[in-house]
Order: sequence, then structure tokens, then C-alpha cells
Amino acid sequence: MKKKILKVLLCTAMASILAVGCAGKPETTEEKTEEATEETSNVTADAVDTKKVYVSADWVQSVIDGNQAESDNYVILECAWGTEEDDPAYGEAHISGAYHMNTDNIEEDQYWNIRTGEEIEKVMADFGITKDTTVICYSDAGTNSADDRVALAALWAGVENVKCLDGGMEAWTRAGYQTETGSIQPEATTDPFGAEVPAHPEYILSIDQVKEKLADDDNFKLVSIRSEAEFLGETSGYGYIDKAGEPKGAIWGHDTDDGSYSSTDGTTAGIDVLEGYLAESGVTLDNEISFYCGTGWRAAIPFLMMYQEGYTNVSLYDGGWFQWQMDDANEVQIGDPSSADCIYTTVGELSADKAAN
Amino acid sequence: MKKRGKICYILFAVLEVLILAGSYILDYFTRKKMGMARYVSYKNHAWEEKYPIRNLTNTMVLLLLLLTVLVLFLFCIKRKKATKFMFVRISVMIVLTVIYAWFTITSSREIQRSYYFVSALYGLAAGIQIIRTGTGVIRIENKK
Repeated sequence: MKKKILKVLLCTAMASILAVGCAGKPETTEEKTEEATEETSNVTADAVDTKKVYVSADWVQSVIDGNQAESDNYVILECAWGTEEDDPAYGEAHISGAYHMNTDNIEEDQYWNIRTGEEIEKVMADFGITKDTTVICYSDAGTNSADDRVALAALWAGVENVKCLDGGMEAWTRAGYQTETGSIQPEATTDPFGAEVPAHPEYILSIDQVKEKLADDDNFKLVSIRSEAEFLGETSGYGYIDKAGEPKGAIWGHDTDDGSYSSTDGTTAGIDVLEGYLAESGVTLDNEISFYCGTGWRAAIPFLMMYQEGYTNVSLYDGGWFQWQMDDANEVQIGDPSSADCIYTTVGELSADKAAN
Repeated sequence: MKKRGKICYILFAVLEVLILAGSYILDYFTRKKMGMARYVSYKNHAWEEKYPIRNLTNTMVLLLLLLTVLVLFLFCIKRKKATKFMFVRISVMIVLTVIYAWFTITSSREIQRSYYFVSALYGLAAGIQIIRTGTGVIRIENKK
């Protein structure tokens, strides 16, 4: 009897030792891995100028790791249209600490133009942003201009240091940096923004300002950042815009969606590329240039390219083709303006069957 | 005649279900797809500029509520001759009308982008049910 009891006790003890020993090992490995991750996440990168917009994944990670001047006061925004609930990409994987920024927060829903200064100031406050906060925007890919749109709005408002992760989430993933899942809600700030919003109203032109400049200023160039088919009036490019064409006097600056402004690795091309596109129409970077597209997203990219190079003779015509074609009296061109086949007419004469499928 | 009546009934029932499903699908894609959201917004603003849309929606709510009450009144008079199935039709009519009225009154374009579309579809489904049920109630009198 005693032997049996001893055998049972011995077996129990052995089983216990095995159980504790086996359970302990994976935890230890995971802890070591976590410690190793924490220890090795100490990325450094060269400092960049405040004006520089497009930054590398290394630089962003170095900010997160506390190795940049911007590390003390920054916000990372994952920019996309739609609420967080309707944007699964954010919940599945976002840069550590990033908030989701729905572009509806910065755009009104009639012309899809940037909201009023008062509204933008509130959005900034809700996201804990003052003019001294470094705002780092990113989208899923370099060609997705949602982050550029938000970046433009932040600059217009008066944020002094605005960055876009060059190449977007694709670049981040390629760099192998950590992401996290779930939701992070922004911490609002009660601190004053620090400047009257908008601090830079000159960055955005209204439709009336554009008409005035087209009529009175020979140095002013309205540059279309749309596809060739849109520029030539073959399609509006949008399912909700029935008419196709361009404001009379516009020149073509190529599209951003087709990669014309991207390098082979998905990052933003250099200013020389933009310069080449402008040269096709006899325009230089010294002209006063206003970029536009359908509703102001794609046009934000060449704007930011010129901005970060220090150019001040650049703006964005926010209403784009969408707002232009709402007024039947507005003058339009159909076709290549450098050719004899170009037709000049008004919006009211355009056919209403050019919506994109 | 009875067979044709049944077929018509089923067809209209399916139509109502499709309308309600369509309202859900429309709202779903308005929330999920930017192109759809912008199309809906564009139409919202166009309708608001072109029509006195608030007055129209209020009028429609009032009209459908009145028609529902009228059909209910007629049904109350003839309920002893009514089949059990008629009670079901009456119930569905009340439910659809209440959903339509409640949604239209309590929501708005600012709350739900697809508001005008969804309200119109709810109203259409409720309207079809009111007509079908009202026709059925009136026909009770013809049966002796």
C-alpha cells in the first residue's frame, strides 16, 4: 500500500515538474523576443528640414524611438476615407501609435473642399494637434493621396512641420518595422492651436480666384493633375460627375494615380519629374502654378513636392473639375489645347454621359 | 382569379423585400465606398437645391400615416369578416409605416448620408404595403 502511494506521489511530482518546465520555456522565449525587440528598436536617421514633407520609414521609426527632435511632440495619422469601423486596414495593421484620420473630417460634403478654418481648428484640437506638433501622415500606398490631402490641410491650417511617409504603408512593411492592431483614440488637446486658422490661406485658391487669375495674369498656370483621358474630355473620371472636360486655359501635368509621380520603389519622384511635365506645356517652376484634379487629392502631391523645395508660387485649386462643372456658364476646353482640334465651349453645352463606370 | 391574386401577392411581397434589402445595400456601400458616398452626397445637394425636400418628406410621412390610419379604421369595422392572414398583413403595414415614419423624422442627411435614399425606399415599401392591405380590406366587404 505504502509503495503504491509512493509511486503515485512520485508520478504526480514528475508530471508536475514536466508541466511547469515545458510551460515555462515558451514564455521565456517570448519574453526574450520582446526584450530583444524593445532593445533593438532604436532606429536613428538623419534629421530632416522642417519644410521637407516626404520622409522615409527609417525617419518615422526614429521619431517613434525618440531619436529625433520631433519625438517630443508628434502625431501619426493613418489617412483614408471612411470611419475607422469602415476602414478595416487600420484595425488590421497600423503604425504604432497612429490614429485613424477620416478624410471626411477635413472635407465638406458639397464640393469636397477643405472645411472652414474653424472646423479644421477643431479637428486639429480633437487630434491633439497644435501648430508646433509634428504631423506625420500616411496612406496604404504612395500613390494613394489621402495622406497628401490631409497634409495639405494641416499646412494650410498652420501646422509648421508636416510629413508624409514616402511610399505609405507599403514602404513601412518593406522596411520591416512594427505595426499594431486595434484602435487608438486620439487625445484631444485644450491648448490653443497657436495661430489663426488658416495660417496659410494662400495655399488654396477658390474657384473665383482661379477665374480671376486665368483672366488677368499671364504668369498664372492652372495645371491639371488628372489622367490623359480626363484631360482630353473623354471621361469625367468619376462615377458621380456626368460631364467631362477641363477649365479653359488648363495645361496637363500628368496623373499621380498611374505612378507618373512615383519612383520604381513607390516613393515620390523628384521635382525634376514635375519640371519635365510642366515643360511639355512651356511652363516652368517659376510660373505661378495652381494644381487641381477632380476634388483636390491628386493635386496635393505636386503641391507638396514644390512646397518642400521651398517654392512659394504654388497653390491648390480646391474645387477641381467637380466644382467647375457645376456652373453651366464656366468656360471649358475639350481636347488638347496645343492642337487645332481643341474645342472651347461652356459647361452647359457639355454632354452629360461622361461619368466613369 | 384566386391563383392570379396569390401570384400578385407573392410578387409584391418579394418586391417589398427587395426594396428593403436594397435600402440596406445602398446604405452599406455609401459607408464603404467613397465613390458611392460622393454620388449620394452629390444627389443630396442637388435634390435640396431643386426641391423643397424637407416639406416633401414631412408631407409623405403625414400622408402614409393617414392612409395607414384609414386602412386600420376600415379594418376595425370589418374585422369580424377578416381572415387571420389579414391580421398579419395589417401588422406588417403598421410595422413598415412606423419604421418609415420613425426613420424619416428622427434621422437626417447629416446623421446618415444615404438618408434621402433610404427614407424613399422605406416609404415605397410602406406605400406598397398600405395599398395592398387597403385593397384587401376593401375587398372584405365584397365577400358575403
